[in-house]
Amino acid sequence: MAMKKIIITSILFVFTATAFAQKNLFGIGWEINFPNNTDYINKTSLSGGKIEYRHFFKKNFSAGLALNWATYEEYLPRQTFVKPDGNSAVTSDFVAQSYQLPITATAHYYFKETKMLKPYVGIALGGQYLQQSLYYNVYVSDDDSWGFVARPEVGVFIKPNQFKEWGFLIAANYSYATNKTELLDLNSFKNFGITIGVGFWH
Amino acid sequence: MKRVYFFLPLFSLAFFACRKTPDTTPLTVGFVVQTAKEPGANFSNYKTYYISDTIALKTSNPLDSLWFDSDAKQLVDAVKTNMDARGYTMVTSNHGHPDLGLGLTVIEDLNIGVIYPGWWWGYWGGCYWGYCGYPPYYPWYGGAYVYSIPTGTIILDMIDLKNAGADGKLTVPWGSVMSGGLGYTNDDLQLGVEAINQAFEQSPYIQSH
Repeated sequence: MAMKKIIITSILFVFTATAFAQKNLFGIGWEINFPNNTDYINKTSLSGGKIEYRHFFKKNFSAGLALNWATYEEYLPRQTFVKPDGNSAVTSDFVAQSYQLPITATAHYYFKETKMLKPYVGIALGGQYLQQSLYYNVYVSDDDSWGFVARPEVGVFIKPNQFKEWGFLIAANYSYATNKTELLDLNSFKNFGITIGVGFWH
Repeated sequence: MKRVYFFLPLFSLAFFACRKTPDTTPLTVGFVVQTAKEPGANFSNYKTYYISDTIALKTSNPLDSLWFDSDAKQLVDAVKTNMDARGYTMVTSNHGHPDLGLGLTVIEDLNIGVIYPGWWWGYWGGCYWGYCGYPPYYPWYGGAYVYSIPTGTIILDMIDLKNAGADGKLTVPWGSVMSGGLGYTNDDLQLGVEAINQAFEQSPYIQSH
């Protein structure tokens, strides 16, 4: 519930602010994600994306909203998983899948801009929906949850032409989310991400 | 430029889609084998066991209740082989006062939407020789069927007869639920035998000594 309030407040804040818009930025990108969770999916995800909006309050500061999504998938060969208490065990092979959907409010600080480059650092805070699924034999088990997510980010817009209002975007982020997955005894979801995209502003 | 603003989110959403359906082709046909033991159970307290050659059978046919042909015997024999290998002695009749009673139940059903063994065991009751067992806590993950195909489930219960209470209640120190899709191989029975072997393999604590 608290998470919903944070998200709604963030959205209101940003949309109220746009009434005074001087400069807005819209970005989309493809995301490559590297999961960083012990004893679970390790395989890199190429199935991710991002849409974001930023409003510039100053030349070097913006706030906005971002929506990211990513699907991770890995085949786990047949093996026996024993619960920590040693009383129960399950043997099977699995196709494990994680679907991640962070919805965040963002803040970015921009360093000195050159003709071609507009580098920045930023932070995204918000809620993350996470669905963890295990497919085995002819069955599937799902566990979905909401958690708080924090995503620090560094990136740069590369402008092919300094007079045009667009640029390529390359960014890297680390994401830490508090999603709890009872199915897998996981208390968080962590990943590194790289964004390759494009940004438009006016 | 305005047009680009309008189309890009649509294009982007369509291109990346919200969620991929996973590729499940690497999955093998081997049964999913789950085992659970009662916390603190000491299996060296037991020396003898009994298992009937008859298997309780549940299918979509309400008249099905018992299974006792040579196929059924293969599954029973798999249990016997494993119990013998762990140092237990089979008594030839349930009147021989065995320490443990083992019971096999097989479900074949197209129509069970979700398997929750917690529910299952309550339904089946686990009653032996006039006693009704307490099912152990079972950590099933709440799986649902993905494909509409015939499935089979084998339930193996180990009942403590040695310490039967005066109130007629029994405990179940160990149990296994084994399940999977049928019809993928020429010999579904072999999947069942392998699953029973796996249930014992992942339960090394079942030892008479």
